[in-house]
Amino acid sequence: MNTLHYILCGALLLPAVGQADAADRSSDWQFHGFLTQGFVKTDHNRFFGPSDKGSFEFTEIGVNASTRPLPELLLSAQLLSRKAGAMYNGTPAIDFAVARWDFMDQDSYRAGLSLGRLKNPIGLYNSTRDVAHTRPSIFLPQSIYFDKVRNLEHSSDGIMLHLDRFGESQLLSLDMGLGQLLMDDNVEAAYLGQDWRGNLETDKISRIAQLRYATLDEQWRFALSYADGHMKFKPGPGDPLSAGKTQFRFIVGSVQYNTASWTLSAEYAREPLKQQGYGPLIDSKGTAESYYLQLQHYLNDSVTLHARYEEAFIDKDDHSGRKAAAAFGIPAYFRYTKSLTLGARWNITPSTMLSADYSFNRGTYLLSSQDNPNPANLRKNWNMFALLFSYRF
Amino acid sequence: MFSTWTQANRADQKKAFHPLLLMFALAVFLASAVYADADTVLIANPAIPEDTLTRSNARLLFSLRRTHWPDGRQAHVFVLKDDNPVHRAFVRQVLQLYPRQLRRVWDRQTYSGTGQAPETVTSPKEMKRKIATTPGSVGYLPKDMVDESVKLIEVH
Repeated sequence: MNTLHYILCGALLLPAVGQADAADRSSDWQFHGFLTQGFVKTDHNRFFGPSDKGSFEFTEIGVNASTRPLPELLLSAQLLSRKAGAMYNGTPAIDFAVARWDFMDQDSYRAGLSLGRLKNPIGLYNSTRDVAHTRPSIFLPQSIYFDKVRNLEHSSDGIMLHLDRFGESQLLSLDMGLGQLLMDDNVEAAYLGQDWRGNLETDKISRIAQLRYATLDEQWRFALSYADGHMKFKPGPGDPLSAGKTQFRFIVGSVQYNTASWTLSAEYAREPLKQQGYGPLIDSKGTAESYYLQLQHYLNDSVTLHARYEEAFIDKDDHSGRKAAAAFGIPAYFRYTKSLTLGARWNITPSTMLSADYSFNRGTYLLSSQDNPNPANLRKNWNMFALLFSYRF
Repeated sequence: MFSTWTQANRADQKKAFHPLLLMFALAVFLASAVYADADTVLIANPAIPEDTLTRSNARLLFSLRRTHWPDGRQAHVFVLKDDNPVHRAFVRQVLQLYPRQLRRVWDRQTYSGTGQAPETVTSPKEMKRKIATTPGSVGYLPKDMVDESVKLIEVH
């Protein structure tokens, strides 16, 4: 009985501890949330719903709560409803639910352990990717933050060790975790071409890590991120694929520089990917490669202009896609995306904002096959206009 | 006759209004200039033993990257809204950061489950009251509002 008994007693005591504390600190609990509605219009191809006709299928609603029952223990959780075209239907899901225990906290070192559904610390933006106020533009750069496999990249169920080294004027941090990535039909569509009758499941625990360096004057941020994934496919009746395995590693290098009126960001990623056992249709081995360069300019306290150029390639040794075109008889532009995005954002109040983006795109690699089920309809050149309103508290 | 009266009245109003409007505008301008230039200082609950903090430690406290004081007691951070002139002045002068940079750090923590955001109060008056009565608390005030109910901590 005993371990369970202690845990239960502990759980029952927690609110009491919180209450005793609340006598002099009324705000032990924190609640935050956000509500975002977007509109997307493309001339060709679909992004977040039937955008060729004009789509409102981009809604994000999230609420989170956190509390510190003990100085070294943080409990927090977020519920998120996300409608994103044919990719996500808005069913509320637990976005994260974390118990974080800082078991060592000294002058210049801190060590902590997190347990639960954890956000994967990838790049500059992954851990807050669904909060419009934290995004530099309406959509995150798809070259690094793939919305077509958002759940896979976003979080994992597991454990993570956090180490912080506080310097004179800088902070060095290392996160290292083990966890189970979140799988859904989008992952299957992205790696196996479509959502088959069979199922793609996680095969092994993933390793996730990020090394970060930041100056405390907030001028420089550097990060090196790593995650790997191991999945296996169980074919369903009639599926033309055999039982295969997909393995990837995702490595991202990030840098950001801030001045009074500018933020410059750049990220570069490589994704070695091996798919075997499926049959000639899918089996492959290669490395995807992508990067972006981004500039944000703060005109004043409420208006920001931004510009970004990005490129993403399925195969780093075939940027033009011609090799793949010759080998598989598919259009070369299925194999890459190059985009230029220009936009503006207006922070109407500290909690509300309005944003408008326009992007010029070439290639269809970063588009979701869930939103674009018929590849014959995909066009090489396409433009997108997007509007977004967001409120947060 | 009626129309003459209104015209005359309008002309009067115009004359009377202009200097007033100007004076009002000047007052607003001066007030905002005074506020923007007003010295802001870091304050804490009187029980906090520290007399000084390094700028780095002040930044770590206000960004909530560190949640306790150097002596180990839990810190409780109070701030005004992002667009409050006192907040802007403190963040610029004392922390030597921009409000949006602090907001970015808080957002990263709040929305990823790795930390929390500071508690927002609505006025410097409320800030003073809360700091005076909350153990471990830290915040800021225009220098001329500081009295013995709170402790002034120098940042260097």
